[in-house]
Amino acid sequence: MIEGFSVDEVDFKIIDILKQDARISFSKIAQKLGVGTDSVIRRYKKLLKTGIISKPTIVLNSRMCGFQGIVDFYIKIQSGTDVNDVIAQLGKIKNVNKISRTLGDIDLLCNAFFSDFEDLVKLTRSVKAIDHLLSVEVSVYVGPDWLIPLDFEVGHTHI
Amino acid sequence: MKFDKVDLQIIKCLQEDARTPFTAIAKRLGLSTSAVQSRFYKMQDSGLIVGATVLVDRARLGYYETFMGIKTVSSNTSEVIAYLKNLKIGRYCSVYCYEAIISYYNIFLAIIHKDVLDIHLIKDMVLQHPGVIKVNANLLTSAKKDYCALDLRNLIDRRV
Repeated sequence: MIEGFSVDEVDFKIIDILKQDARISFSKIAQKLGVGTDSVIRRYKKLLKTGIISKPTIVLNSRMCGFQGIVDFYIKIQSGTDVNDVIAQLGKIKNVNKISRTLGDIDLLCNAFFSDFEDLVKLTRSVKAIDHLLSVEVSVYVGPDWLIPLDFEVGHTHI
Repeated sequence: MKFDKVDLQIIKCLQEDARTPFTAIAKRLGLSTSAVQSRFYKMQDSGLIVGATVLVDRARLGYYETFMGIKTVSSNTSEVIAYLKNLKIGRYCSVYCYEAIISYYNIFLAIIHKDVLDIHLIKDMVLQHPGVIKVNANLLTSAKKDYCALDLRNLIDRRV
């Protein structure tokens, strides 16, 4: 899964630091890890270029942005349907945050943020309107507290 | 505390790249650097801006992501959550636990793991608790994420 370049211990440590604070200065990272600043910058650029990490992004308080919760859609598609077509249609729906193919009893998992009940209804209707879906199950959560690209690691209880 | 269109523009810049220097944002938006800076700190102090992070392509680093739904006898949900916390499954892999409000399942575990067999391990541990009725796991094989597509116009329409 790592093609043509390697990710070593130092790279992992840089990733961990950036996950906590992506605005930290390169020289501070260098200081923490006991390596040169140039090395950190080089490694950061490599991690970005190869897509191991995304561009750093800001984390917002989801409630202050007007979002009251997260809705999950568990989707089964009719056999013979092009799943990429369904993914493309889901991607067009406002405030859909993450779409994943899955192995298990469902085909697609789709997360979206919603601001209020009316918004939730609109979202659900948009998903159900997509052609060739066998079933759509809906799950609603309060939160998360933090709004970023939905990444399970942030905003939930680590056990 | 009220936020306006300019605050939203600053947020958009930082969503694209949180390391963008204030001077660059200022230039892009036709503002002074100190204006951008004070707006940023206002948003940070109010709690709107929580921090900055990078997203990691876990698959490329050899990690799987599995989503496990746990159905419990409803009155036992908090007991099961406490049980799961005590198990310290987190020593094998990263596990994040959250409670569903409207769902067939009561608890969800988001599991980041290197070994597919970790899921069998965790499933077996979960099923040990008598309050657990059913466990279902789905392995996420690929994800499309499109962050900046989130509509933040609510932000400027709400007085916080």
